[in-house]
Amino acid sequence: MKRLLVPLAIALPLLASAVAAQPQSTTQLVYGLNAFDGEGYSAVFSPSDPPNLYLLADNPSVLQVKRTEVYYWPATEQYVPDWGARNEDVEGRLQIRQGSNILHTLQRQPFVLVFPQGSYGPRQLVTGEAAIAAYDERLRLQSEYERALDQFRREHDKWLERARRQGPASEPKPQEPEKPTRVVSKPMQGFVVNLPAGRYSLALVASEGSEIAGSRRELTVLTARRRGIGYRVIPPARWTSPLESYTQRSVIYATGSDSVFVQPMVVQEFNELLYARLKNPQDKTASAARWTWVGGQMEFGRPMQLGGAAGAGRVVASSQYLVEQVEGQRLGYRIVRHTRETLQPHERGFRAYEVPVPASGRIRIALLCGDEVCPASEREIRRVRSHFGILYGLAAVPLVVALGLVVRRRTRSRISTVA
Amino acid sequence: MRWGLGLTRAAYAIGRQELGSVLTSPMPYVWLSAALALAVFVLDSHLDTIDGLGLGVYADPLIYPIALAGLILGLYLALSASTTITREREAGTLEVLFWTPTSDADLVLGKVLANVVVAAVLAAAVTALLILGALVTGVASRGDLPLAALALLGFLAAMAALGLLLSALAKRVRAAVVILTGIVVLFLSLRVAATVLAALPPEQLSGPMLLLRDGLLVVSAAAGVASPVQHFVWALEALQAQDLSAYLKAGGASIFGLGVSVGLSVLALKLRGVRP
Repeated sequence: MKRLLVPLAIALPLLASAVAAQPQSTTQLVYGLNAFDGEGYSAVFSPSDPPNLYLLADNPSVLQVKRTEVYYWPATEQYVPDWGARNEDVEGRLQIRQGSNILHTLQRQPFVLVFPQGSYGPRQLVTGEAAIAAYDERLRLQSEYERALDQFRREHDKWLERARRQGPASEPKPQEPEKPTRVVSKPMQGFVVNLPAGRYSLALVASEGSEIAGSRRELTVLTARRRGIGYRVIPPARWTSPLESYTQRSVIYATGSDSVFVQPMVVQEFNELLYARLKNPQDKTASAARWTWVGGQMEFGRPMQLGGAAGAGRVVASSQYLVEQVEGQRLGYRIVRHTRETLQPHERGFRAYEVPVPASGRIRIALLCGDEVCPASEREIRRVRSHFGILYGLAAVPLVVALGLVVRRRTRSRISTVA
Repeated sequence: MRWGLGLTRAAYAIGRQELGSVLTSPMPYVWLSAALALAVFVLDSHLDTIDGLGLGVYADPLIYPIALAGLILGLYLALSASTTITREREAGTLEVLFWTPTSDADLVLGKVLANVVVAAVLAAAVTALLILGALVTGVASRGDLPLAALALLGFLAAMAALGLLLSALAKRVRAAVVILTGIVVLFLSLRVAATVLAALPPEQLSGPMLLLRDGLLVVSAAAGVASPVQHFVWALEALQAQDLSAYLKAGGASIFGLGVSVGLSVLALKLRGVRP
């Protein structure tokens, strides 16, 4: 009996903790969103609590209404879906109201997400017939690629065989076909919502017009407080750690390098709380009292004007840059202008405008919209020097005066004592 | 006899005497040196960060140095002014002074005038060092730096007037310093608590905490309206946001606060009397 008691004493707490880690789930009507966030499309999950949805104004987003199992995950303090347990579409039309007015009653339509630069790149939303066409085109390109790859493998095997028999460099090596980078998701059905800024409510209604229980949500459609052209600034010494300049007041300071690389982008300023809730309706960290800048689409098509004494009104275009490892076993890299306009899958680099940093003084940059400078696109780049010895010295001058005053007082009081 | 700005000869004489006394004392120079060293240190750390990466992006690298130097000098002026009348009251020179044709208003205005001149000298020193720092390092010195310097001057003068009010109210030097320290700590605590609670999303707060947050926000906002520090922060934030009307409002609030402190000081001196 005693032999059994010890393992039981060890096993019971473990069993209890295992039971505690199994969260309770409930069946809920939830919303899955592909919401435009200013940069691209984010996948957003919205459980029944909190009953609020957030979208960006004047851009299409897609809403899907599902019934699934939802459980609370204490580690993130959020409700998460268990799509594996249940993933059912809820039938009906989406009714959008503003106050008591019904603004839209939407039917589901097909949509796909397009990833032009591959699965990890930015996403684009394509809806309706164009979505089906985009997916078909992707399938066609994929099957063409697979055929070309098959042929390449056969030719490559033959080439290897000939090379083995006749020796190397007897004929050129066959070229491997380029894999299509563009990825298109499988077509799905959803409600495409595109609204101006404001507060709305929405609910799913059945064919006979009754509201489906648990489908009502408050919808906040937000818009930017300010817009402009921002810059991502790439330090040549750490090209993977870019800095951002969102407003014209922010000056770009450089110390070491002779040039910097800048990537212009459309930027928008949102209320921090609303924007965080757009990305995650369960967010509990953002504050309504703060504002946040969000970088969006890159603007590489426009010429850039370099002004000031160092720029002399020159106009430069964007180029593709390649990051090359230095030869040998030493760590390090160099950034060189690429001979091609796009990067190969094995290559590392970026597209940017290279701006020279003057040895002293400053240079101004601005994007050109036709003959005019694009609004809020001007920036200043300055070289800074660290000459703080003289400044600390000047800060100590009042201390010297104070010492002088103390000495004078003591001298005077000594003279008066002697007198 | 009244001179310009409604000041009497007595007020000018008191002001001149007070100014001479402050300028020949080592303390303002020690505090100024500390404030300048802090301003240079903040600028230096900005450049250190830029040096580390080879690049940096800053909107207003001179605003934090001005703000921090201002806070140090404002504290000094408030402390120094808070002892000026009480010291004379304790020494008995105040009673002697009022045997001459000097009014309460003359005394307060004379001392305010002297402190405004000292504030102008301190603000000019900080601004001059930062302009020089910008020239030497290449950091952008914007056209609104003179406006920041004006905001600094308004803040320093308002802090001196607040100190003078406490000096007129308190019987002894120690009491004036303790009250000033208490006010500073109270304002700071209110501000920190309100900032922390305001940053929390409402869902994270339970009923009583929500009430406490709302109450603290109201009290903090009310205290902010009367606080010279808050006016200074508003002015600097307005400069960063390039909002001239907000800057003027903050400046107006600072000058109004200065006027109220001066008026209350005269009243307090009348009520409190010249003896400790």
